[in-house]
Amino acid sequence: MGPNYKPLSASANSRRHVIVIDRHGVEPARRLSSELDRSGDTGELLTLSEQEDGLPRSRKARETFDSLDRLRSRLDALLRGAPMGTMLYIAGTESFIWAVNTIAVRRGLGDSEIRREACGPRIRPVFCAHCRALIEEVSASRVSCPGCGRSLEVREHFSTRLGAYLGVCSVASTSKASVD
Amino acid sequence: MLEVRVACVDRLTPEIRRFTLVADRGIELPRYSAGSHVLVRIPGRNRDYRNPYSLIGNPSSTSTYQIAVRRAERSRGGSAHMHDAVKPGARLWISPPLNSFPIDRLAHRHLMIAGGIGITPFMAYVYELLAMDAAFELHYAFADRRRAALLEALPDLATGSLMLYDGSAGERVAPCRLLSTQPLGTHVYVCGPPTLIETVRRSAQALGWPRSHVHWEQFSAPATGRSFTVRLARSGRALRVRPDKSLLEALEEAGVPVPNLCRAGVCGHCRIRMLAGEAEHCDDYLSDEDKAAQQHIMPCVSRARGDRITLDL
Repeated sequence: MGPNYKPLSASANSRRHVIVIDRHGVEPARRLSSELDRSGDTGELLTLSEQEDGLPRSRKARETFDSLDRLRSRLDALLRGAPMGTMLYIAGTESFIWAVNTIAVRRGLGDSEIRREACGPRIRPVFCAHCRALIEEVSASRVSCPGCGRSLEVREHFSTRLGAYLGVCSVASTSKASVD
Repeated sequence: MLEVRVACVDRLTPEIRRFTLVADRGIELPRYSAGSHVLVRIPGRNRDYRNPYSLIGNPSSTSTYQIAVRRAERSRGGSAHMHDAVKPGARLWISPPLNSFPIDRLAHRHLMIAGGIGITPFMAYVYELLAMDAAFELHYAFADRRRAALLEALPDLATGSLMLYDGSAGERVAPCRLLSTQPLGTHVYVCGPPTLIETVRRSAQALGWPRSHVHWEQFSAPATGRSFTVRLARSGRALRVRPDKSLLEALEEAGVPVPNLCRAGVCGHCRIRMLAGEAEHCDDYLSDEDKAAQQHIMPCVSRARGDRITLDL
C-alpha cells in the first residue's frame, strides 16, 4: 500500500506553520496560505521553495533555494530551533516529499506533525531490497539499480521508515526466475 | 497474583508510607518497565479491594518492589488498611506489574509534571531515563515541603533536571509556560490531581501539541456518586448500586462476572453494552462519538446519569 497523501489543509491549533514545496507544489502552497489568511491564523509561516514565481505574497517569510540539498540544510537548521506546536506541510513529487520528510523525522517531528500532498509527475524514491541502495528519483515501474545492477520492479509497497517504495529484482523473461 | 512479603515499612510522612516487598526465597519478581503499577489485594468488609500503586523503585533491580501509599482522607478502607494493618512480615497478594503509562522510547526529550503523590511513577521513570541517557525535566509540585518526602528517594539528578514547586511558599507550576518552550520531539507526561492533568492536556492542545505526545495517568478515586439501579436484561435482575461502590464492584458483589484489567477506565476490558438509560462517562477509553452514542459503558469508573440503566448482561 502506498502512503496517504491529502490536499494540504491548515492545522487549527498549530503555532508555527512551515511549508516546503518544489516547483510542482506552488498551487497547494497558495491554497494553504489563503486558508491561513482567511482563518486569521497568526501562526508564523515559512515557505521554502525551489522557485520564486507564483509564491503567496502575503506571507511573512519566504526563501528560495537552487538545490534540494540547500533547502534540506536550511530546513534542518530551522527545525532545530522550532517549538512543539509546529506543523510541517510538504508538497511536490514523492521524491521531494520523502527527501524532506527524513529531515523532519530526524529533528523529532512525528507523523501527525507532517502533512503531505503529492503533485506533479509521478517521480518516487525506491529502495533496493537486495543491496539496500536508495534510488532517489524513479519515474517508471522498472529501474536498474545503480548499487547492484539488478533489474528492479517497483512495487506499491511503501516503507514510511525508509521513505521509499520497495524495488524487487524480477527478470521479465519466461525462463525460471527466482525472486529473492 | 503473586504472593509477597512486606520486608520493610517506612513512615515517610504522617500520610505517606513506603512498603518494600520481596518474594519468597528462590522466586524472582517479574521485571517491569517504568510507569508500571501493581494491584494490591486488600481485604474489606464485604469483599476484597484491589488498589493500584505505582512501582517506585529502580526497574532494573527486581529483588524488591517498592510502593508508596498515601492515606486518603476519606478512605474507603484501602489506604487506611495499608497504613494501619500492614506491618513488616505481613504477606500480600499483588498482581504482576501492569503498565498503562510507559515512557515513549522514541521521544527526543521527556517533560514530566508531577503533583503530590503523582510523583510516584516518575520515580521509576528517572532511573530508566538516566540509563537511556535521555534528555528530561521533572517538575514536582507539592503542597508543602513535609509532603515531598519522596524527594529523598530520588536518585541524584543533574542541575536543571529537577524543578520543585512548594505550594506553601506560593510556588506554582505553570504548564502553559512550560509547554510553549519545548523543542520538537518532546513528550509530556503528567500525573497528579485531575485539575493538573486537565490543565496540561488543555494547554497542550491549545499550543498545537499532537495527542500522541501527551501522556497522563490519573490515580482515580473510586467511582463513587449517587446511587442508581442497574437492570440486567438477560437475567432480568435489578441491582441497586450504592454511592460508595463502583458499578463494576456492585456487579461483582452480586456474582456477575465482568472481564476487567486496569479498573481505572483506560484499558477497555470491562466494556458493557448499554441497552437503556444514559451513562456519566468518566473513562479514557471510549471515543467522544462512542460516549455520545450511549451504547456502551465502562463500569469500573462510570455511573448512570439518571436513576437507572439497563445492561446487556
